[in-house]
Amino acid sequence: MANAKVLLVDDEKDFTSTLSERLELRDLDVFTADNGMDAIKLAKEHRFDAVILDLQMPGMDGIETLKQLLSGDADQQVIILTGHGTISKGIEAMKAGATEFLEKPVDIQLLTEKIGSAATQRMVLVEERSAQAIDEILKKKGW
Amino acid sequence: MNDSIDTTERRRLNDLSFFGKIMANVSHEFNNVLTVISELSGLLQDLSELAERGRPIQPEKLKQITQKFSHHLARGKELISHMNRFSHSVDDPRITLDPKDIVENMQVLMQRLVDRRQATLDCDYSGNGSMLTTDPFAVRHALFACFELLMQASSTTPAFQINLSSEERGTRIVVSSDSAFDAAEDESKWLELTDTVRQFGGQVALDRLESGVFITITVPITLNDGISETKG
Repeated sequence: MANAKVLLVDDEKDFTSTLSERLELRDLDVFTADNGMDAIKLAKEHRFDAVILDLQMPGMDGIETLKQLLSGDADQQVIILTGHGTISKGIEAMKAGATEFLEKPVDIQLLTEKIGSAATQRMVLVEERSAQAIDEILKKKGW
Repeated sequence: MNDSIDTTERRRLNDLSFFGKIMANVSHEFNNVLTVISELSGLLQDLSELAERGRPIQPEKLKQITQKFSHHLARGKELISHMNRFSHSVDDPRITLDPKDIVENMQVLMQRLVDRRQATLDCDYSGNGSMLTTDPFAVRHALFACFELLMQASSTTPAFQINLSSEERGTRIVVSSDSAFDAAEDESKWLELTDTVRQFGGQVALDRLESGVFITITVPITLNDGISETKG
C-alpha cells in the first residue's frame, strides 16, 4: 500500500494536520480539506485511493459531500471518521455508499488497514470496469 | 386541569430537550478535543519510535506539539467548566446572579452550532449593570430558544448578536440576526420560547426591521413567586 493517495476531510485543522503527518510517516500521500466543497474540488483534480470524511462540518455536511464524491466517481472509496457515531448516522452513511464507518478517536493501525483495504477494493473495481469496457469494445467491433 | 397538566408536561419535555441538545453538542465538541489530543499523543509516540531507530526529533517540532497540547487542553478545560456551570443551573430555580454570566455561558456552549452554520455570534454587555434574582436554567433555555428560532429561519451565513442592557424593571436581552425571518415557520418553537419566558415572569417581543430580526426578552429584577411555583 506504499504511497496510496488519501484525502482527509475534517474542519478540525489541528486534527487533519496531525493525522496527515502520522499517515505520511506510514508512507501515505495525504491531502487535506476542511470543508466539503474543497474536498469535491480536490477529488476532481486527483485520483484518491481513499477519502476519509467527517460527517459534521460547516456548510456542506458529510453525507452530502459523500453523495457528491460518489456521483463524480462511483468507485471512490470513502471512509467515514466521525465523533457523531450514532447508529442512524452510520446506517445513513453506509446506505449512501460509504465503505467504512469509524468513530473518533481511531486507532492509527486500524485506520491504515482500512485505507489499505479501500485502496485494494478501488483497484479491483477499476480493473473490473476496464475489463468490461474492453469486452464491450470487442463485442462492438466483432473481433 | 388537564390543560395545566399538559402545560407542565410540555415544559418538562421542552426543558429536557434543551438540556439534551446542549449536552449532545458539548460532548461532541469535547470528543473533538480528545481526538486532537489523542492524535498529538500518537504523533509523539511515532516520533519517539523513529528517534529510537536513529532519526532525531527536532526541538522545534516538540515545541510545536506541546503548544498544540496546551491549546487543546485549555479548550477542553473551558468546555468542561462551562458545561459544569450549565449543569448546575438546574440546582436552584431562584438565585441572584449577573445576567452577563448566563450569556457568556451560553455563548461558549452555542459556539459550535454557530460555526457549523458558518455564522458569527457577537455579544455586547456594555449596557449591563444590574443583578437579577431569577431562574438561571429558564433564562438559558429562553436564550437558546431565541437562537434556535433565528438559526432555523436565517440565511446560510447569518450574523447573530446578543445585547444585554439594564433597565428599571430588569434586564433586556436582545438576540438578533441580520437575516430575513418568518416567525410563523416554527410556531412550536415560538410557543416554547413564550412558555419558558413565562417561567421567570418575563416578557418577549419580536421585531422585524430593515436591519434584521430582533427578539427581546425582558427578565424582571426579581422572580414572581407565583410563577416560580408553577415549575414542576
